[in-house]
Amino acid sequence: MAKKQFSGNKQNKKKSQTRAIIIGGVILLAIIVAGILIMQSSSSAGEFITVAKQTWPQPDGKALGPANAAVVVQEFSDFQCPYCRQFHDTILNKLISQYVATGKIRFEYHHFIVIDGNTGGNESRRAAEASECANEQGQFWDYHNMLFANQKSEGSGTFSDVRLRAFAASLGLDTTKFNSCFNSGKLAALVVKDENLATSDKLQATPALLVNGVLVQNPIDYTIVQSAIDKALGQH
Amino acid sequence: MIFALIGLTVSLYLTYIKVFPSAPFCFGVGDCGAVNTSVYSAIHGIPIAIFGALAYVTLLACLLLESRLPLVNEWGPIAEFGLALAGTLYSAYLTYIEVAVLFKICPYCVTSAVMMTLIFFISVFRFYQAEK
Repeated sequence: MAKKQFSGNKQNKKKSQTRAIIIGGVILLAIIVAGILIMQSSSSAGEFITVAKQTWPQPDGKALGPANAAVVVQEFSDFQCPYCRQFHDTILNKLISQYVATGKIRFEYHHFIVIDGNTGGNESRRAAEASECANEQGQFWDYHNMLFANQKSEGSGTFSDVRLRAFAASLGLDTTKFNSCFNSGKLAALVVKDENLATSDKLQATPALLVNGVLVQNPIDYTIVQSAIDKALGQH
Repeated sequence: MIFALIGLTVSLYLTYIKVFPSAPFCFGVGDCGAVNTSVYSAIHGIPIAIFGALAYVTLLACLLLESRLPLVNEWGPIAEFGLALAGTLYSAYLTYIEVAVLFKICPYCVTSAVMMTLIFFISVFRFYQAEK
């Protein structure tokens, strides 16, 4: 009788041990599955549009064209701003071929972070900082094309740090140098410097276009931009 | 079962608006479109809402087959517990992304997260009952 009870206790003990192992295994498996999903979500740059490298006329950091041009056109822009993308897609190339490539004007890009204020995020600022790191390697303009090509709705994560690093890699930048620059935030002050310039010029929206310091109303209309530049050129 | 059905419905809707992009009806709360088109809404091109839908289908299948198949009757509660635990952990991460990274809330995603969490607690209770 005692022997039978002992045997029963032993069986119960073994059964509960097996159960405990199974429960532990299931918990471990669940944590591993969730961990893999989280790692894939956070480390994957996801899909993005790659851009071909372009030949830029007289690139000089964030500027194009001759340094001594009589007319200087300054764009103040935010990589997340939809109208800035519209300016990039519909105006910039025309402006470059008509005025920059012909040596008539110097075109300068300046950061003006406005969208982060709407979203509460920092994607515009991080994208701007990343573009400064690309600029450190003389690749601002191609990187800037990459950013506008991959613009999505504001604060959607399209300019997450992982993706900004992946953009640099896809353009063939020195990733060690880029990542070191980007992770340290060492060029963040250059973005702030541009913002201060925008503030001192009393700019309120993006894209803002200044032709020899004069604000162009509606810069996404090429005829208006043309007329402002032609007027400035005529004065010289 | 009701929670799993609600979870399945929102997951299928989120999958639908991801595969066939359209402006989602968002009850005037949050920004479903921005969250569901964000880079966090897919893994290697696969909408994460599909993973949610699959999890809810599996949970429903376990619940429906428990009384019919002895194998599911024996292992169903532990399987539901494991699936709900993984789902709850991943949902917690996604909610963190909404709140702290995207700064946007998607009511459907939150509904799914709440359903999965409730299912997890119920699965713990059911598993405990089955063990007794």
